[in-house]
Amino acid sequence: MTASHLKDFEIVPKDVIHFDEGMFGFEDYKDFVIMQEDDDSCLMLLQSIQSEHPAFVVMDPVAIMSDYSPILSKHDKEYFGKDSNLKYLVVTVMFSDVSKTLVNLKSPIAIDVNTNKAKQVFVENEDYPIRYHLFESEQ
Amino acid sequence: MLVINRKSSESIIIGDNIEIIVSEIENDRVKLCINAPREVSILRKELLETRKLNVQANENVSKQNFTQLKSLADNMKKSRDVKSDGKH
Repeated sequence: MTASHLKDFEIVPKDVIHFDEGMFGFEDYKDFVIMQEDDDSCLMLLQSIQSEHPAFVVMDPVAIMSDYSPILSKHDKEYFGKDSNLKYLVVTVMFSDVSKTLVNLKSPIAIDVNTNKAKQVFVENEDYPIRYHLFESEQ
Repeated sequence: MLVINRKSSESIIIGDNIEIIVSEIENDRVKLCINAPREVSILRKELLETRKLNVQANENVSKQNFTQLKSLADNMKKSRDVKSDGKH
């Protein structure tokens, strides 16, 4: 995907979220917009507002695992604070063969919807894999 | 793979100048202290893997892949929603 993904997708920026620390591997990019083609879609695009890349396809983990309930480290809990209202998105690795799609359930993006502060965290849940095959036939 | 048993406060030495000390053991958690030269990179493995996946995720973003995956993912979600509605 090149040029403006925004125009490509014909979708409206919903929210700009801010990462103090960036995403792993992309620490210099702090501000991202979440784009959704339609309101009830579980697949979204998270794109840097600085440039067209980095961009990540992200998913609502609840669509994958209806009881997805990450356990944050003490450090991350303190980082977001008691009054935070956290939502999670998981990074999706796409392939031209869709059945190979991977989702990182171990390291979701936590977003405080009150402040739009975001951080890619490592959850303590031992049964959440880093490479989860979205379509079970691949497992 | 070399396997070594160590107790709390014992350590192992790797090469000439890397020391890994078992500082604390509590339930299923081990606290390690590492003495190593500044130029040696020390990372939690999952961080390295997540970084690699992020890089790959960013490289593979394409509209074609997105459109294809979106319809599959939304169908998956819908069929799950229908199933869970049935339970109520």
